[in-house]
Amino acid sequence: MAETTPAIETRNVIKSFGSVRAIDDVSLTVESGIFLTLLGPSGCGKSTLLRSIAGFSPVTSGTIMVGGRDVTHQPPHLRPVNMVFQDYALFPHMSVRRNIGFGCEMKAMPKPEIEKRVDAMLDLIRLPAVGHREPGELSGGQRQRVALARALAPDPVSLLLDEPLGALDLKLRIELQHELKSIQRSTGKTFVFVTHDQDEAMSMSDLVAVMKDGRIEQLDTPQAIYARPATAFVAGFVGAANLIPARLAQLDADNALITVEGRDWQVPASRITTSHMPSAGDAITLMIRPEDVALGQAPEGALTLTGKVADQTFLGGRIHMGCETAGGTKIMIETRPGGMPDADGAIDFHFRPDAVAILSHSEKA
Amino acid sequence: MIKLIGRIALPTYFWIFVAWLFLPLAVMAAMGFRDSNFVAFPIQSWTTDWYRSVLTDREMSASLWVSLQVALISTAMGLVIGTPMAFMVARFTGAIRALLIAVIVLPAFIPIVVASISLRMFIGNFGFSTGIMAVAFGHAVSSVPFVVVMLLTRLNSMSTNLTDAARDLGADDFIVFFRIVLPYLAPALFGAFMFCMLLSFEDFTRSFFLGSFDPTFPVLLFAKLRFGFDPGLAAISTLVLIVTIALGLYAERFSRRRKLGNQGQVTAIGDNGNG
Amino acid sequence: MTAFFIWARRFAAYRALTELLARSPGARLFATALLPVAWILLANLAPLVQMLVISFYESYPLAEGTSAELTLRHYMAFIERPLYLSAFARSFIFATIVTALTLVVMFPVAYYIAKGAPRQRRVRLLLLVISPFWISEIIRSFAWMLMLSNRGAVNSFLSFIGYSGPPLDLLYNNVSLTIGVLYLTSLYMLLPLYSALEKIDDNLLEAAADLGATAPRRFMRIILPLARDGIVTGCTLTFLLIVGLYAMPLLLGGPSNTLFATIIGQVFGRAGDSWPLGSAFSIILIVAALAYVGIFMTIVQKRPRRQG
Repeated sequence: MAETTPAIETRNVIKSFGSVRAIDDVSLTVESGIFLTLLGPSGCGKSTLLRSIAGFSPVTSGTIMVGGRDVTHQPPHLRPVNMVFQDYALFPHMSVRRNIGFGCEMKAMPKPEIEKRVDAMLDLIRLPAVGHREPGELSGGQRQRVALARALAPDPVSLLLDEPLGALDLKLRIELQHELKSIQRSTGKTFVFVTHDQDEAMSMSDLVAVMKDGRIEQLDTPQAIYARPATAFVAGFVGAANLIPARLAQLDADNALITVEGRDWQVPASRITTSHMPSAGDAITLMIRPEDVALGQAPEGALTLTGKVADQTFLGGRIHMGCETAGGTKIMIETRPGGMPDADGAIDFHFRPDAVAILSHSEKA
Repeated sequence: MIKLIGRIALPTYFWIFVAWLFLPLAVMAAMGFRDSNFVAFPIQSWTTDWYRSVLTDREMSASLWVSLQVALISTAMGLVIGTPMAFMVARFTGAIRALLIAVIVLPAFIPIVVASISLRMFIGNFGFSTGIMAVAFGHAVSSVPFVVVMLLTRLNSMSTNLTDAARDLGADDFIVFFRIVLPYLAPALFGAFMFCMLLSFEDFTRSFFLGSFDPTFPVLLFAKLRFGFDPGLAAISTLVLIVTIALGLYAERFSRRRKLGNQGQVTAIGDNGNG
Repeated sequence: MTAFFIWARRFAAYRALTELLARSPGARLFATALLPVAWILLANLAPLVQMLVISFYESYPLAEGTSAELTLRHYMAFIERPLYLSAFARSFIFATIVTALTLVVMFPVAYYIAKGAPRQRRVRLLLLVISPFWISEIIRSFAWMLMLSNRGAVNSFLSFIGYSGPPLDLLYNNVSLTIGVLYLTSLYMLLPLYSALEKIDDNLLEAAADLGATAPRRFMRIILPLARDGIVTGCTLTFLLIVGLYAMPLLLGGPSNTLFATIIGQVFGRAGDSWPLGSAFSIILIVAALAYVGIFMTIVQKRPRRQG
């Protein structure tokens, strides 16, 4: 396999504001052509990391490479990355064409070439007719597309998108998510996308990096992030998660024996998703998604627990229940109706061993 | 009863006030048509000679030319100094900003006579004497605070993302300044330009203490008024008044238009003002 | 323009400069602040400092080869000569009275534009009232001279309606000066009042009316406190303007109406050696006026500030 140069690479990047580390030792490699999302709550450092890559926020220490070139000490106007801003930041006094051509103009491209490039971009964003309008005359969605075209026009190594859909309403957001993804595919550009919205991250990305307190908690595909979260924080951030305290009784190469609410249960060792491998006797946390909790007859190998239903909401095809186990753990269940609780509210529920993730206890969010 | 005050008394009072504002000006305009060498009412016979003759009056047109030169020079100085000053203030927040603004607007709080005289003594240190340049300098000192305040208002509405976006697309600071920042400030710059021109053109006290043998129009008018007046003065004053008010109204209208035109964009940026 | 800067990039010095500016906020601040800071020091502060220094000199300009002798003589002259002291007192009393008068006259005008008139007409009304203020103080004085002189518009109107006595002496006295000054200051009062009144929420007034507050009570309890900032700004500007007036008292006032600023101006009009005296008077005027305004502000704003 041929080695290709990563589009973006950060090595041990640290950014301090006084005593606070907004970026805390982040090493991240973004291969060329990838759609990578930095996902996290506000204040987790995702935007700061993006602005550091763009050059707006000089790093305290560490190295930033773009297209194999060290740009750590380069000002923004010399870095071959372009940014799409949440507020579009279109130049209000220039026509759409001038906006899109601005980057090419700065690269001292000949005029006819700029015009051709702008035409191609307008076609790409499917707005061929708005070229001579001013940004103030466009709708929110149109402005966002123009901002995308403007960033793409100078052919950067990578596009940096800072919550670009945040200012749009839900319907338009979803429409633009699809469009963004298809533009990314058709151009083959590397996209680094920042958002706090896990649905957005899941639906668009090749890779998701979940950030917390300036660190990357987990970097993986959306499927893996959801099914095999490395920490309780990740589990909770990308979806609803039940966290059940447990203990690791035995561990061998293939299987782990754990104790949950006084019951022993064997799960495959591969379900240990935490990066800190626990050893026998450690307290652990069992993560299970509400939709993986089932009612009724338990199949072979599944763990059955008993709880009391605290509340339930009927959602048409599904039912949402909040239970409390004998051990005092709250469990959310999302399932098909059936197997209703008996008169005193007690209910049995179960889950399969390949649906859980074993996290180390210390990382409980 | 209360309704009555609101509905009738208040508007009546307002229009009496407006009449009080404009009546003397109307009287002055009318006096310019009096067919006599003396100012007096009632006007029995009318003539347009005064209005025609002032246009050829050497002394008057010379003073208007001096006024215009002073206004242009001082406005240029005011904008060249005031623009970077606004940027400088915009860099700071809190106490430093408040302190900066305090020293910048200081000239507006010094009694004008005192301000003019202190400047006159000060330029003497450098061997400058009174004259057109001294007057222009004095006017620039008084107009800089207004330039700064007007530009700051506009700058505050400008998202830093706008300049960041330009830098991100490969523009260095000079290009950012000329291609992004200046055009964005254009309406405010135009407003400040007109305001400085009007401020300079109408000033008497600074021109009087800093000027020498080439009087500006208000200084010449003052000198003449102290020794009596004739309908010719009323005529020229009326012409100056008309031009001044027309320019002022045009400037107001222009800057208001621009503000409205940009509103869509400004609110779109404003949504994310705290982001 | 852009093409020039792109062309300039071929020179290493330009590239180094732009890189330095882009990388270092300090360098950028230095580049923008150099000229403004020099201006603030030289144009705003230095002349006043020099004036302060000169006010202590025995004489100025200094004779060749002599060093400055310091004295308080010029400050003593202010206290010892009743002419100066009375002009000073007259200035402050006059400025106080006319400021109060301006406030009383302009408040209803500002209130009408901000609250009384239909919203879509506000800008037009404001412009109507502002426009006379773009013209020179001298032209405006002249207009009032034409109104008030012996054969001016007012006297001529009086005889037209049947008054047959000798023409009234309307010009060159306190009344004509007051009218002229009011004509000059009303804008400085109007704008701060207007912007303060305009911010008052109409719902607040309606709510107060609903709760049974009478009109005078609404005015005292709601409108006046909320307009306080505007009143303070307007009065401050107006007062400082009046205290510094030079020309209008000469044109519209009588010989007995000489104000302190006019005296300062005339002191400088004399031979150069009276500059220290004029400087001392100037310093006295600045300090007294700012102290007066400062005391006024503290008294008025002592009560708890209003909630946003």
